[in-house]
Amino acid sequence: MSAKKMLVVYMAGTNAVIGVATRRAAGAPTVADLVGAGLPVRSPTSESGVAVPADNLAVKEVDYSDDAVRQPLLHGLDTSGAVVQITPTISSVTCTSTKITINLSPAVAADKMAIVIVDAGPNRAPLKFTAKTVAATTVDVTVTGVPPGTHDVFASVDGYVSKVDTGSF
Amino acid sequence: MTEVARPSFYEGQVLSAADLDLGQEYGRGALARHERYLHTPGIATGLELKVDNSTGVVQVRLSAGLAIDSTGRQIVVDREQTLAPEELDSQGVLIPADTDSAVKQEDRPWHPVFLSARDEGATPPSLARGCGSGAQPNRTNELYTLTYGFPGDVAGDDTAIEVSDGPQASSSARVLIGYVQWDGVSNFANAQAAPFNNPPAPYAGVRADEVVARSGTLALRADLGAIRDKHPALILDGDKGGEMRFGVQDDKGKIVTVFSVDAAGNVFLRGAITGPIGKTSIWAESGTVTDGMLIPLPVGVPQDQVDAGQILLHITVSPRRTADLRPPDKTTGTYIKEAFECRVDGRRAYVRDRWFDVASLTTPQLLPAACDYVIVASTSGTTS
Repeated sequence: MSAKKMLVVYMAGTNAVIGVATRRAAGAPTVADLVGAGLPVRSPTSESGVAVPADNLAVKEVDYSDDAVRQPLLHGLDTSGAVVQITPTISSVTCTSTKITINLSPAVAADKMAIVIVDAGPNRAPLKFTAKTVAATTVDVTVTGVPPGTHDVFASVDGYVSKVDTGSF
Repeated sequence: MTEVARPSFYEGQVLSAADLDLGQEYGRGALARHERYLHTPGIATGLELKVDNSTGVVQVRLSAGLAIDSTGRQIVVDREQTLAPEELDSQGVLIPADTDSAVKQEDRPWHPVFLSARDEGATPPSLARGCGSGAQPNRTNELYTLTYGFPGDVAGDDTAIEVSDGPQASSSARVLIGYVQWDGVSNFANAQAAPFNNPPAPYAGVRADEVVARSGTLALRADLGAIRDKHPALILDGDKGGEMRFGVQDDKGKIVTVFSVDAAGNVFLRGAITGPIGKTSIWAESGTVTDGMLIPLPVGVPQDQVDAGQILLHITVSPRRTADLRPPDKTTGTYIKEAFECRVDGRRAYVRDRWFDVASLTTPQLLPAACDYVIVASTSGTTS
């Protein structure tokens, strides 16, 4: 009997898991089959959130993990492609009209991918910004074109638990 | 229209050459009508084009074999023959792409090679000549002619023929036996039976509205030459009440069944059904998804048919109740969990748990959660 499997939807740039599904059929469907145009990631403190566009996501069939089903965002894919629990966290996200500062605990190594998705409001596509980390406890991501106001922000850094927060631009 | 006649003889009859010829023609005509109306034209055996590079110069050889043309005539190539490149050149079918040095060899066109029947009266041996009649041919050699076409030419079937006609020796009743490629200068570069984007040289087929297996087992085998291994076959087996089986063969011709149906209608299928199969098709899937995910469609259900209303989805979700003492991000404290949200919008699941810290019941925390689902898809109108 083969081992039970699950499908993880993860950020293609940071390997952060943000959704999980199981099914009877074997094999991995397309990302669009599992998320449509995007996967909504909701803030634990509000009714809103950010829809991460499908073109930033990938899907992989992996061995089943009950922990990953319970809390997908606490997991990521390691270099072998296996799902592992990750403990480093994004402690906060600070926003201005020109940049988003991601505060990390502990400090990040250099040259890791950081991705920020900003919910631009109704009837507007989410905005995506990326940066490479330097060895520090923060990473600055330059942003442009974010409408002034308060927006939900999804931040993902390779090796860190992703975070949904709200910021003023 | 020519009536079919056969010779009949009587004692004392003076036999003429025409009487003897009629005896032959009756048999030839009957065979040709069988070949023409009960078979499709093509290669019956052999007639393979092979490239020989052993001398350092490309030579294309045609193996011995038999073809049947569209008039029902059998064309026999009695020995291996080396194709003459100058004949392709002299037939005027070369085009600029054959000789343009700027064209890569693999991009040069493929010229079809055709085989057609030809009759040739044979000169009789000197000792067999008749008295006073002079030297007349007393036999006909059934020969063949190889011709080349322009790229894209097809064998065609332009020979006008009556139902009663016998075999013809017509250059228009030609059989495609393969393709050759010019080397850009003065020789062949390659030869194949079915180069990419060209119709393959056809094998002779059968025209039949009923095929009867006297043994009780009828087999259709898609062998490749004499190779059966890994090629598909369909078996109608009269044993055990009757069964139809499909699968690939092993090297002995025994099939590994992937699909079968018996006389009672019981179906065995090793693979999956990937499309609608009738008015009462139903597919199902079940599992678990986390907040925000789409409930996966059962395998074989295309989204476009769901969007078009041809397939209906029936989805039920329930909160996934697991024995958690506290939220995943907490290591201490006493908490109460309730399923706060568990619903489906289209195929998207929205699932959250609400956690109450008993030390601070007024500030619950909402966290994404997971739900168990069952999704049933049915062709429109078949379930309620």
